[in-house]
Amino acid sequence: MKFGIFSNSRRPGKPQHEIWENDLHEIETADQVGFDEAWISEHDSPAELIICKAAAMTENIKLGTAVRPLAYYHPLQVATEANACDHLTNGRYRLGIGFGFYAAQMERRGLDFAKTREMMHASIDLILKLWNAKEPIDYDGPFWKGKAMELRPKSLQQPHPPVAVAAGNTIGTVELAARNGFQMLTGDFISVKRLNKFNTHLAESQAAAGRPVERSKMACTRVIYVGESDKQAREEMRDSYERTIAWEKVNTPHHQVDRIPPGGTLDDITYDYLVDSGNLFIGGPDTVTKKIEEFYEDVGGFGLLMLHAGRDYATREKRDRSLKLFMDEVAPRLRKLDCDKNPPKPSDRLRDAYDNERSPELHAQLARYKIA
Amino acid sequence: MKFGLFSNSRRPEHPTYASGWDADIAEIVAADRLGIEECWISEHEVPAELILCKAAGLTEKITLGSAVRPLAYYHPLQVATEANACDHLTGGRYRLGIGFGFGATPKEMERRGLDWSKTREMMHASIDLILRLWNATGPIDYDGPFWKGKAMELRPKALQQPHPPVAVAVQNTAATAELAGQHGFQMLTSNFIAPAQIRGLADALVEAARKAGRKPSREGVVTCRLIYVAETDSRAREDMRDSYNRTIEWEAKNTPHAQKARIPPGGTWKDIDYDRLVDSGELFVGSPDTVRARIAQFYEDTGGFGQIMIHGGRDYATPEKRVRSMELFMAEVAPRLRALGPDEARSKQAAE
Repeated sequence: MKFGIFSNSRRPGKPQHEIWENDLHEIETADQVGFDEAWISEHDSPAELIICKAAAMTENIKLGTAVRPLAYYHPLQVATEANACDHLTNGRYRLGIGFGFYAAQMERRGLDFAKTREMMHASIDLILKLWNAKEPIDYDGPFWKGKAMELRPKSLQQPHPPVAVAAGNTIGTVELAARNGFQMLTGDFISVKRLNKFNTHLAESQAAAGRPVERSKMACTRVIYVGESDKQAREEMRDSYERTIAWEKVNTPHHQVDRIPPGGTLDDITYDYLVDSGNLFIGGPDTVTKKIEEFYEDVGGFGLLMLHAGRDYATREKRDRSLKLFMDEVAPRLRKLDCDKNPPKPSDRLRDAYDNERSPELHAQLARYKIA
Repeated sequence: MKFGLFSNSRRPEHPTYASGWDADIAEIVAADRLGIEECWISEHEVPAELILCKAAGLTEKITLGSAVRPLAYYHPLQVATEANACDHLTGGRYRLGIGFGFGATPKEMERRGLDWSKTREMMHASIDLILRLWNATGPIDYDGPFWKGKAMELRPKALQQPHPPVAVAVQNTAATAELAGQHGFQMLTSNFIAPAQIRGLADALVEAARKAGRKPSREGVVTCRLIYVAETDSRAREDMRDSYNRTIEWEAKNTPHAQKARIPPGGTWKDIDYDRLVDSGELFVGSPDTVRARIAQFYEDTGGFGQIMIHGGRDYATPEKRVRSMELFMAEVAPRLRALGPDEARSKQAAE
C-alpha cells in the first residue's frame, strides 16, 4: 500500500495566498515525512500552478492534479502543460481528470453543460493519441480542431505521465479507468459499500478489457487524524470538524449522502457520530491502524490511501504532527498490504452496512440545497 | 534605472527541458539574491506561468512576469484566472506580459485550429476583456466573435489591486507602443532591436500616455541587451566567445527574422561576427567600466528608459561565470547607473 495526501484546498475565511501557503506547507511536510503522492484539487484555477511551486519545495513526492476539467481546454494544451509539468517536477507529475462539473462553470466559458461528458471523453482520447503519436496529427472533431499537432516538449516519463480519473457516481468512469490502466481516485465522502461496488466493477472491467486485474489502481481517501491517544485526537479535531460539517452542509450537500445516519437527515450528521461510526479515522496510532485495516478489507483492497488534507483541521502544528505520526507509527504496519498479490477476503461487516444511495426521500431533501 | 533579467529559455544543448528549465531557474534565483528587480520569462511552447510558479518557490523579492502570453490561444477568462492565481502564488510578484507578433506563428495557430489572420484581432479582444474582468464589480456576460461567457467572474480576485501590472512586447508596431502608453502598460523590447527604433517606439508610448491623460514618462520602457561582465575586457570577451559563436549559428538558423539589424551594411548572414558585435557595441561584453559606458551610451541613444534587462536563459559562458557576471554587474555597474531617471536623457536632449 502507498500513502498520499489529497490536498483539497478548502480553507474558508482565509485569503487565497494564505490558503495556498498552508497547502504548500502541508505538501512539503508530507514529502519530508515520506508520503508517496500528493493529489491537488483544481477548483477555480489550474492545480498545475500549485504543483510547479510545490516542485520547488519537494524532492520525492509525486504531484498530481485532482482533477483537470478537460472540457475547458484544447486537448493540445492539456497534454503540453502535462509534459511541461512532467519536466518541471523531474518526472513526478500525474494527470488527474474528472467528469463532474457544475453548469455555471461551463457557462462561464461559453460551453454547453450538456456536452461536458462527451467533451471529456473526446479530450482524453485525443490526449492519449498525442502522447502516443510518432508523427504530427490532424484532428477535426466537434469540439476542437488542430493541424499537424505534436507535443513540445515530449514527456519526461515515457510513454507518458500516469493518468488518474476521479470516480464518484458513474460506472462508465470506472470502465474508462479499467480500459486504459488509469488510477481511479475516490472521495472521502463515499461510503464503504459504494467503494466496494467500484472495486468489484473495476476488477471486472479490467478483466473484460483483457487487462490484468489490478485493484491497486484504486485510490481511497479518508479523513485521518492521528494523535497520541484516541481521546486527545478526538478533542483536537472536534472544533475544526464541526465547522467542516457546517460548511459542507451548505456548500457540498450532494457529497454528504453517505454520511447521514440511517433514516436521518443532513442535520443528524454530528462529529461524534462520524468518529464512532468509523467514517472519520481519528485516534491514536493503534486505533487508526485498525480502522484502516478494516476499511481495506471492506473496500476489497486498494493501492493508495490518501489522507484528506488542504483543510484547516485542528491546527497547522497538529496537522504536521499527525502526518508524521501516521508515517512513523501507522504506515509501516500497512505498507506490506498488496491487494494484487493477496486480495483481502470478503468482509462480513459490509453485509450489514447501511446504504443511503437508493433513498429517494434523501435525494429529494438534498435537492433543496442550492449548489454553487 | 531598474535592472531586470530576461529569461529567454533557449538552451539547445541541454538533453531535456527539465535540465534547461532548472538552469533558467538557478539563474533567476541568483538574480533574486543579487537584487535584480524584475524577471521576465519567455513563453515558447509552454506557459511561462508554470516556470514562474516553480521560481516563486525559490525566490523572495524578484517580480516574475510572462514574456509573453499568446492571448489568441486561451479563453480570456483563463488568462485572467491564471494571472490572479500566479499573483497569489508569488505573493503579489506576478506580471502579465502579452504579445501580438510573437509566438503565435501561422503553424502554432493552425495546431490549435485557429486562423492566423485573426491573431491580432483576437489579442486585442482578449486584452480588452481581461481588463474588464479585472475591473468588474459584478459578473459579466460576453458574446464576442472568438469567445463567449455567461456570468463570468474571477476566482480568485487578484492580490495586487486593481490587478497585476501588464506589459506588452513591441517590435515594430507603433500602434502597440501606443496601446502601452494609453493603458499604462510596460513596454518590453528585445535584445536585437536597434536603439533608434526603441527611441521611436518610446516616443510613441509617451505621446499616447500624454493623450490618455497619463504621466508622459519612459518609466515603463524596458530594454534588453546581452550583458556580460568580467574583471577585464579581454577576459570577458574570451569567456563569452565560444558560447556566443554557437548562439550566432543557432539564431541564424532559428530566428533569422530577428537578426536583420545585425548584418553589416552590404553584408550577409556570414558577416555576423562575434568580435564585430562586441566592438560595435551591439553586445555589452567587457569590464565593469566598459559595460557601464556601453549602457550609458545606449541610454542616450534610445532617449532613456526605465529598465534594462540582462539577456539570460541561454548557456552563455558557464553557469558559474554567468552568476559571477551578474554579481559584478550588480556590485560595480548597477550602482553607477541607478540614479539615471527614465526621462533625463530626453529632457536634456530637448534642452540642447
